[in-house]
Amino acid sequence: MKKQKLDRTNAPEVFQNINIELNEPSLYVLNNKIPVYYLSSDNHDLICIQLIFKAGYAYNNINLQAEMTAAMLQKGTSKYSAYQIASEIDNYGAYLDITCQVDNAFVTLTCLKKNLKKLLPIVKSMISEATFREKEFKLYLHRNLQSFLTEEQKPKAIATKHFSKLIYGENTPYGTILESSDYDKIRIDCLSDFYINHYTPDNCTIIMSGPIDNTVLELLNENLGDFWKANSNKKSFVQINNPATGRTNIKRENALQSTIVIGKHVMPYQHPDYVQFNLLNIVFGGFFGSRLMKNIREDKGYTYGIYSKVILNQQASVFLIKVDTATETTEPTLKEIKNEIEIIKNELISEDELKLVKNYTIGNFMRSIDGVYNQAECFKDLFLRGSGLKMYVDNFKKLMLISPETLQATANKYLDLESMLTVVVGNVQ
Amino acid sequence: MILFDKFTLSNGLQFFIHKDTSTPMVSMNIIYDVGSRDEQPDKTGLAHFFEHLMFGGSKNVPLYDTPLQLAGGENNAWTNSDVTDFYLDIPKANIETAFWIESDRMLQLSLTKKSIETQRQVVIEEFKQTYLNQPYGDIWLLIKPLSYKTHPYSWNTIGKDISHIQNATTEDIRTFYKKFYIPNNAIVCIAGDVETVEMQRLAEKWFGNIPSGTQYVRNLPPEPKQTQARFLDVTRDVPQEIIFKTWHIGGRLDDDYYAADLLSDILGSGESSRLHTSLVEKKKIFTKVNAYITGDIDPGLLIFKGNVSPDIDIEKAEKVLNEEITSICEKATTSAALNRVKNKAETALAFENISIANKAMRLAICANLGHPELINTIPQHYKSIKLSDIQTVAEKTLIDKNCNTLFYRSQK
Repeated sequence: MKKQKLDRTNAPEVFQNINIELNEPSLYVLNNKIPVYYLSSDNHDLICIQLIFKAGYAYNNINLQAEMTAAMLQKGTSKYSAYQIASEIDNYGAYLDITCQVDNAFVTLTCLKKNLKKLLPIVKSMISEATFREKEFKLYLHRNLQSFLTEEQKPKAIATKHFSKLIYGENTPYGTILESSDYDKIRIDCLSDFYINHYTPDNCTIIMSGPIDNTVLELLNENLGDFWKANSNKKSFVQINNPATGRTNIKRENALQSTIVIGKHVMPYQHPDYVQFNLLNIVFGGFFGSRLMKNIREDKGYTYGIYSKVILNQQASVFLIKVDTATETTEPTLKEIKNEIEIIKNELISEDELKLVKNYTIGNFMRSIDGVYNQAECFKDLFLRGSGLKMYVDNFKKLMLISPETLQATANKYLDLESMLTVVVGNVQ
Repeated sequence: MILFDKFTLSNGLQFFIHKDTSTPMVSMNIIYDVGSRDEQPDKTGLAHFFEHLMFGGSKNVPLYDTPLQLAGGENNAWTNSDVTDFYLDIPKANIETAFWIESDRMLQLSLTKKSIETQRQVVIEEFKQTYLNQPYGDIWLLIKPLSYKTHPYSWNTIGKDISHIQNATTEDIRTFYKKFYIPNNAIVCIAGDVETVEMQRLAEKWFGNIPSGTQYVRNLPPEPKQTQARFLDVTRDVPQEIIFKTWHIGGRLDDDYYAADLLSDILGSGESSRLHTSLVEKKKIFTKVNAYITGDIDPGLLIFKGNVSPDIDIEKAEKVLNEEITSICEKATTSAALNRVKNKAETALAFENISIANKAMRLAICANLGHPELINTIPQHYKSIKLSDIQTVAEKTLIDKNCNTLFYRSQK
């Protein structure tokens, strides 16, 4: 038989699978009413447990209160010293991660299933009987200030800081800016107050993934289900008013590059326009093949990377575009961003480009729900937006049906440069 | 246990296939056995620059990303001193698209003037963004040439200087492609719900007729044994002073690699580590310390980094650090501390085996070392380390004449 020569110009056939169904996680409720959402799989040995407290820095009465409270959880309890906590976690080869974001604080434990029993009592002690000792606090505060001072010099941090202040408003929980002087003002009793009021069962949700069975659930209930505290002092959220627009330049002498952030407030996840806007964002700047990336990196070579994204916080959603570029290509980059906005508003997207973006999104969607750990991570984000995996799948299916006309209409409705704030940090006048 | 099949095409291209039925995605990882250590001293940064050019289109796939995105795929790449790695994942029904685009750029990369000039600019911006426009960004540009005097590890993967990227000629680039981007200098790993027979059919179809090239024989000048301590003192506009120390250790396949790795963990990985407990918590000389090894294939480095407390002189900080290091050489560790870092290594490996992308990458890296079985035996290597092994490697490594020190001062 004659061997046929391979025709490399012929692309292999591409198949689409959008018939994806996904169940919500199972729910188990601890004795103290903490809901535990869990996704189980026997394929792995690792268990990931995430405790979420509505204790982010948006709830601060004084700057650093929430951040320091979260950090101090592992700096000593009535049963364990800071060193004991660190060495026990390491002894069992586990990972403990505590982060404080704007809306929530997260205590995440990842460990082999066989070690869970030894580790949960430590977690319990941290969330129910942390001691907030002055000595550890001073030491930690001092160390943290040093990291802050370094971070504060990074162009990206400077840009984010000024952008947040202007877009959310200076005296709102999202727009409050941390200064090094805040490190002098914070006192240990602010932390214990915050702890008593926010690290409570009625302020907590648990999301868990891995080889979860009844033993694991019972273990969780034994350890985390019997602490009781009431959340008495909830802070109400200050609304954002009149976000800034126009352009602000922040001078940074001798900078080789400028960091540019452009953005505006947009709709929350549940809004009927969110699905369209999400697709618009992907086309515009949301992936490597986006218009911003193709034009400004791949065609002009102005930057190592440019992207846009939608940040969905609980009280505000913001769309933003971010790029670092050489000082001399700062204005040309701004001009190209403007051009791309005009194009997406004035010209209908081709069927080919739309198909490409949708297909890319299918892969991305499959990736986001691949395996229980990813599903749990995905569910966490959705849960915090008051949604769930079902709506995620529904939204994905809706996205697949969006027409070029709808996309253009969405661009005209939301992508108006006049309504956006531009912050440029660099060697600019 | 990560099971895998292996086959090699007649042009020398090796394939490793790992079946994992738990996922709808397939990961393809291609490692080219070329890194910045294979560059000429006057033409550095080329391996990394070339990684960018691999996305500039090939004869039948003018835009690498487009067909991949159409098939729901996502990709990226990285370069280090030793290797260049390209990876993608894609829904399993579309795996043939991956074979098509990867084989085409191995066979006939376009290397257009437009692609070269644009990526040259992109890489220069990356150089500025990462190394020049950040506080402490140039630390590695200082540390590498301080630590290596002969071996090409003396320069960073990004290159010695922006001018090397600016001056790279089309001829340099084409020569690089011919020399290194050949089937007999690459390894393909595929992980996912796939059958080896089918992968072999696709491999023959798409990669089978790519001609092999002249086998590259690596002959790098070895780093001579360091005979006296070296020291560099710089001052920059930064808020906090930093002490950086490096000590030479063995290569990836040397006997004491695992002991050196665990030693670095015992010294400075996490809040229960020896240097953190002593120098941060107790003596308050540093606000942060960290120790790790570079993990290079050729003899690498054990690194210490410490952020000096603002009220402490950098000279004093070094003195206290040196005393601590001396006491470590006397008694490196306890069995409790050794067990701790072993347990940590076990969990870390369990982590890495969750995603197919990680498995494919680790398999590719092990196979490139000539030991694909390492993907399963690494945990045994760590478990077998004894207290005396740690002691031996500490005594051999943490000595003055094997040490390079950088003072990164703040112009307060």
